[in-house]
Amino acid sequence: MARLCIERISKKFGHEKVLEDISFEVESGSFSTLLGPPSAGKTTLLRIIAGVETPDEGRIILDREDITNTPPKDRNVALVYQTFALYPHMKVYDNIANPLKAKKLPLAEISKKVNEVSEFLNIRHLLDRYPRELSGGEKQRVAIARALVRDAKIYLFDEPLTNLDYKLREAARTELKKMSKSLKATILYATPDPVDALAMSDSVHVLFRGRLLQSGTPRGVYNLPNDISVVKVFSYPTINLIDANLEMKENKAILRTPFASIDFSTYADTLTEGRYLLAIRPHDLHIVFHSEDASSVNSFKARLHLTYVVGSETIAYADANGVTLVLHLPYIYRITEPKDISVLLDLNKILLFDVKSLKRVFPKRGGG
Amino acid sequence: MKLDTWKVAALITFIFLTLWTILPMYYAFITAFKSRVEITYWPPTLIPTEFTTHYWITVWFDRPTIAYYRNTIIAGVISTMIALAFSIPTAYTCARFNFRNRADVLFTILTFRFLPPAAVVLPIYVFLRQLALIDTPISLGLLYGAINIPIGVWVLRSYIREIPPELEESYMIDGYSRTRAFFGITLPLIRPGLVAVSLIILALSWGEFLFASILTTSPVGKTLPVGISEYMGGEWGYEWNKIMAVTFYAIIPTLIAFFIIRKHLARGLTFGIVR
Amino acid sequence: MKTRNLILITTLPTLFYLFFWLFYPFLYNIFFSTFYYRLPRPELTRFIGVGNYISLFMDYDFYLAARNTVIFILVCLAVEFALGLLIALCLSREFRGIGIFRTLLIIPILLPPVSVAIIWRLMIFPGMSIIDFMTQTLLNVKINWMAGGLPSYIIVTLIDAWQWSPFIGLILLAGMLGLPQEPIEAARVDGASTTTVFFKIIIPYLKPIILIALILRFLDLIKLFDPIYAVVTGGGSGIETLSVYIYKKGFKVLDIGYGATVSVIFWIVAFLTANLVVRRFKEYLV
Repeated sequence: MARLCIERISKKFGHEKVLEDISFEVESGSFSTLLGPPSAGKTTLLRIIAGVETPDEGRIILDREDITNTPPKDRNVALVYQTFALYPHMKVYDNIANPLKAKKLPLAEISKKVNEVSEFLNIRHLLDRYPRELSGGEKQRVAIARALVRDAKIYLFDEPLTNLDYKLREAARTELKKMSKSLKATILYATPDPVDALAMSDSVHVLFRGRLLQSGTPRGVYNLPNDISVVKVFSYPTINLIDANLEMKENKAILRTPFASIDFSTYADTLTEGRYLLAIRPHDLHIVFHSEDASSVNSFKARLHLTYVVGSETIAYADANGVTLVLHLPYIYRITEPKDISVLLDLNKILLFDVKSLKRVFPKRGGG
Repeated sequence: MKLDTWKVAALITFIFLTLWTILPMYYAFITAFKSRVEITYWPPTLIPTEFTTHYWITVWFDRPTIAYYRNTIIAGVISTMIALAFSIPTAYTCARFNFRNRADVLFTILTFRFLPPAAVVLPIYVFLRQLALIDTPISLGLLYGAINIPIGVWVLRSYIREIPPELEESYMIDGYSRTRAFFGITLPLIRPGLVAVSLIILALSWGEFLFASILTTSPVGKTLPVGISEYMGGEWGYEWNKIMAVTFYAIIPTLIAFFIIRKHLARGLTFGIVR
Repeated sequence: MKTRNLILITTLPTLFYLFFWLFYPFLYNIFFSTFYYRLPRPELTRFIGVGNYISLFMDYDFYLAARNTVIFILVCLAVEFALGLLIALCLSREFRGIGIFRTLLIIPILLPPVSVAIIWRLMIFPGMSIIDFMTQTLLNVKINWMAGGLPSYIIVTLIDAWQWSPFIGLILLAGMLGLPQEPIEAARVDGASTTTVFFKIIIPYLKPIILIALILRFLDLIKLFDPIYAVVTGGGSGIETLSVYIYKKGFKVLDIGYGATVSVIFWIVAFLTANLVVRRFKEYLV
């Protein structure tokens, strides 16, 4: 267990700035997520922490030691690669035992630890096989075993779930969470999937195009994103962005969108008139099924034209007066032809961003 | 209709090519079984009337064939060891690291492969003569080593690039240095490539003629190609049965090498460019 | 160790070793070329500056050798490409047993070139060979293939083609076996004939591969030596290439000074050509 401090790390590949002035901390024993889309720089950052890539600027401090110039073998950092990186010419046992052999531990102890970890990860029966004989899920567990078998100061995971097929991913996520709880280790976990961040981590750092946009607790960043990019990264499957106009008349504030006029009076005391970018998550748009609710002020009409079911949830696309909206429904819902519906907007979940700076202006409270 | 013409033409071409490849080798092979009289038969016979295996044995003792064989092996082995010793590290860094002059280094090395031996043989002769290193398979081996470095570098680089760098990195993160990673991961995983390159270099050194003929003067240093060409010119004159027997003894190792590495041949001969 | 040091220590020795055996002699040659220097009579050695170069300029045999080199390069390349293409086409068919043929037709490549030359010398030797027999009986003509002139040109081309067409064939075959099938099938479905498919789809797709084969063979042909030496030994001449010319002048006659002169020119031409070709086509190489 150790505390990780990233200080002002920058890295260029050729003329491309892959990482720019990244600074954050991971508390000892905590599970921290590095959240960002592909090409955000997550893998590069993890590689720099592991030591197989050197930063152009900045420092890495692990367990109060500056390891920026230490070779990987002396850093005591474990990294689980997205591609698993299992050694094809060694049996699974030897793959897992490799870090222990590097430390020149006695054979008996190596055997004990390897067996413990494989038992823990349910791969004990695979020890005598070669990586090419394993399925994707099995390979992943071997890769994790190889990391866990060590007593590393920090464990780095590079998108471990991305290469698994969809069904496995759900199960694996649960297992990972259980595992991290019982381990009491410092973990830094890179992923493009916001669900991972929300489900498993104590803190999240949002990375986008080489920049660290926001750090905080998952819920905190989720509810109070500083910036449009943060919302984009931290939404599933995407974010609804709508042009809105706030009008103040007498003591009423109306938020006008192309498809609805929302009574925003209770929330608008800190706001001024003008144009804003309204963001609402697909999760926070609801289909209204009972007619009484349909007459509520915050519902509007839309035409549902496409749905697809993912697991036990549905992603739905609707057209509201020319604006395409994406809805995320926590149940299965299918349509055979376009259907007119009423959509309810959860006012508590509206986010307003300044049109020019793209920074959050509502809710006003400080973000993570 | 059109399809039939193509098929017939293809078949004819096929047969022609096969015969054209096999016939010279076959004829040379059975000539070694002919008696001294029969080689002068007119018309020449395609199947010997009397099978004589006598010459297959005598060629070893008639002339210093054994010495030639030994020298060729020595030169070949030294050449391969030297070429590998230099190529492996160079191939590794050129495969793994993206340094500024990498393209220049690689292309210069490649260019040197195409320099004509004749254009450098005279000074090398004078130079070796001054050091009394003429007529020894060792100096031939040193020279061949240089000539074959380009193949070694380019082909091995091609094999190394196929191994994901993550494997080496993971090994290093596990607690090893880059050198240990090289020996623990890279080397074992390119083993087929190493074998292929070694055999190709051996085969190429085996058949080299120009340098060998100028830089060696006696059975102490002469290699098989030189020896055989001598038989051709004057020593054995028209004793084709003997000449062919030795020729085949010279060919057999390259044939064996060929069979072992035939899957890697395209890559080996095109500097790793064509799989 | 630092990356920079690692790179230096793994590339510099290699470059140095290469330069030592293949560039340093070039400098030596320049030095020698300014002398009159014959090995059997070392006492006559004297400095003559550009004297050798002037003699070279007026040397008919040198121009002949240069011309022969060029002729062989062009002719051999053309023949080998045509044959190589045929070989590749034949071998690209899939049927049971094709593997044997794929191995068989490729054998000549790795054989020692001297052995190949000798085997063919056996085939053409006047008075006791198959080809000699065939030309006499079928064409009623007595050709001495080893006496120089057109027959010798043909034989040398033949020998080189016999050994190296499979090389081009192997490369083209590798390319053909890697062809994506969909565009071809789509074209067939659209009604294109075999010829059209061949010329409009396959050849353009194979262009990089074809170039590699031609470039590699072209650069190798500059040094053409073995077949010529084997054919004309003890026989006629007039078909020498530059390599053979240097061999004769420098080794047989042991005229180091003059041999060095030719070597200098030869080295420069070969180096520049290789350099030019490699850099011009570098995209195909990596």
